[in-house]
Amino acid sequence: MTAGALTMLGVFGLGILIDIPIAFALLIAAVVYLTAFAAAPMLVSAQQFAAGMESFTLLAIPLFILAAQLMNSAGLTQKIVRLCMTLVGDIRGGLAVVAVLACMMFGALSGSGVADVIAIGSMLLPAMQRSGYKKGFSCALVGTASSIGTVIPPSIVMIVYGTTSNTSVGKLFMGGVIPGLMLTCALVGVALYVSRKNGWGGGTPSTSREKFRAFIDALPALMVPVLIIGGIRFGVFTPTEAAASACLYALIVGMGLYKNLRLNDIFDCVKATAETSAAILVIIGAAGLFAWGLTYEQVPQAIASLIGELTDSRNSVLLLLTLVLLILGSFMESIAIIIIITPIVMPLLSQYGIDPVHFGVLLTVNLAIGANTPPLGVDLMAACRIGGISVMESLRPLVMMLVAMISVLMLLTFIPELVLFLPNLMDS
Amino acid sequence: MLTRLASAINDVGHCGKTRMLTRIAAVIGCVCHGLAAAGVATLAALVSYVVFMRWVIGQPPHWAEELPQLILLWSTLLGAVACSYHRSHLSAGLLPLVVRSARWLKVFTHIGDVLVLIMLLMITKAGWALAMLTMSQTTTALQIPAGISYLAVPVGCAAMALVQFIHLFTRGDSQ
Repeated sequence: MTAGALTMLGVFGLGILIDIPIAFALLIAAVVYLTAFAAAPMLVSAQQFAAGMESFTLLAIPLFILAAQLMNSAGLTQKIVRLCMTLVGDIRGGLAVVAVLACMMFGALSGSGVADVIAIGSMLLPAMQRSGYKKGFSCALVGTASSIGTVIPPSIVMIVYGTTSNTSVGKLFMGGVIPGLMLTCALVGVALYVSRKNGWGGGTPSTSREKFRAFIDALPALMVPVLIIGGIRFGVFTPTEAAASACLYALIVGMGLYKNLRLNDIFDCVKATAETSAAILVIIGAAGLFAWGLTYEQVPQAIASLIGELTDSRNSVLLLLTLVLLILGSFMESIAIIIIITPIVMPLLSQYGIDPVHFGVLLTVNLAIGANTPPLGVDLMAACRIGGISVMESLRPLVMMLVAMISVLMLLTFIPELVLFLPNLMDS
Repeated sequence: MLTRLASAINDVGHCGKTRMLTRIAAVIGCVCHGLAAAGVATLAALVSYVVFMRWVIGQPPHWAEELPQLILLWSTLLGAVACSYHRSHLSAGLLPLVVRSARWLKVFTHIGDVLVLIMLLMITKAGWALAMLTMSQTTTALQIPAGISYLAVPVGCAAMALVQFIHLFTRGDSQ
């Protein structure tokens, strides 16, 4: 690797270590590289920084965040939780199953793991603790289940990968459906096993009438994934347009149907969205400049040839990438990983005949797992913060959940059809 | 928000230097946050309008991609100023795991703030030069100077630099 590339990576690493915000650490590393190695005029820094944020597909990010904020304010989250409670809340370990199902369903609204933790965790963690579930287990479960939100469409992580790699975001969304459901089943299995083994109880049983009522109440929320996935699948919307339609739908449901969304709430949602999406998009712009530097230094080619010398097996390459992503995911923010890693691995994908949609979904699942592994497991950290415990307390119960998720990841790695079946239907 | 802004402006003339700097940062953060929020709301309205025009009228507007992208860039960089003010930019949070001493934590935070400030000033300068260079070119759909889009970089970075500079002399945002 060249001195320029090593300098950039070194400065970025040091910046992260002293807690400089990720976007600024990326920019500092790129500016140091441009200054020290005179690779290009300084104008390039501003041009690449802006170019990284100028994409029609990236518009979907603030719009999906806004849609999730509006739906949360309109009380759709409570209705999803209530539906899950009436359906399975009364069985032994039912509350744990409710947590997983609610996170999966809310993931289909929000597209972000941390948003899931905050919305579902703040409602269910206290209830689980009251029903005797151990805090460490509850937090680990909500953290891992919330990560499914990045795999189930719509997914912000997939939008970023699709934009960076020129891959169809619609196909990535379709590809995330089966893996998301598999992860949900795996975590439901773990939740039931651990809860029953420890004798942790469920809630009170519901009558058929209550179940029906809860279903009708939650129906507008359940229609959101249908609107988004169906709209993209049948070519009615692009992902960005689907996001705008989801915002409009949330407004109609909140103001027209439930009548609990006021102008003040909308204003708060828009303000929160502006800040959250800016924090994400600035990383995307900064990582765009950083990735430009790595590409200029021919790092992708260097890594491709290094891996080519190590192995010529497609599966070994996928396993190697999985290992790298799992390690990176424990230390770095998902969006930054995608923007830096994608240009590096794209030559490898074509060299080894790996489908970019398959890899994109594997990348997303990897990052979902990375979001729960210390030291920087953001979903786990958020769940523990809401649960009022240290991350250390959740580590023991976390192991079984991570094993379940990694098992699903291995299945997805070696059986690409599990990912590609639905995207291929789009072509046919 | 307007009340907070008015009170912040009012306070500028009546308090000590540190408090005044904090208030200046508050005004910048508040104005940028409000503008970024307006940008997000406009984006949602514009893209919904594009969907309506495409599917109902059958003729999407000529600015369907260019205008939302321009607003996204401005909204993001102004929103980033609010993140700087609230110190809500995403960071790894590794430092407290490595350094236990409060004094050293503070030292490293200051070093980080200075490095960020220098970098932001350099990108502001580069962004300004780029915006001026491209002001004579026009965009394809809107036929406006291309530099208007790039101008978001120096404006956003300069505002972030100012907030960052104030953070060096104050405790940062109290929120």
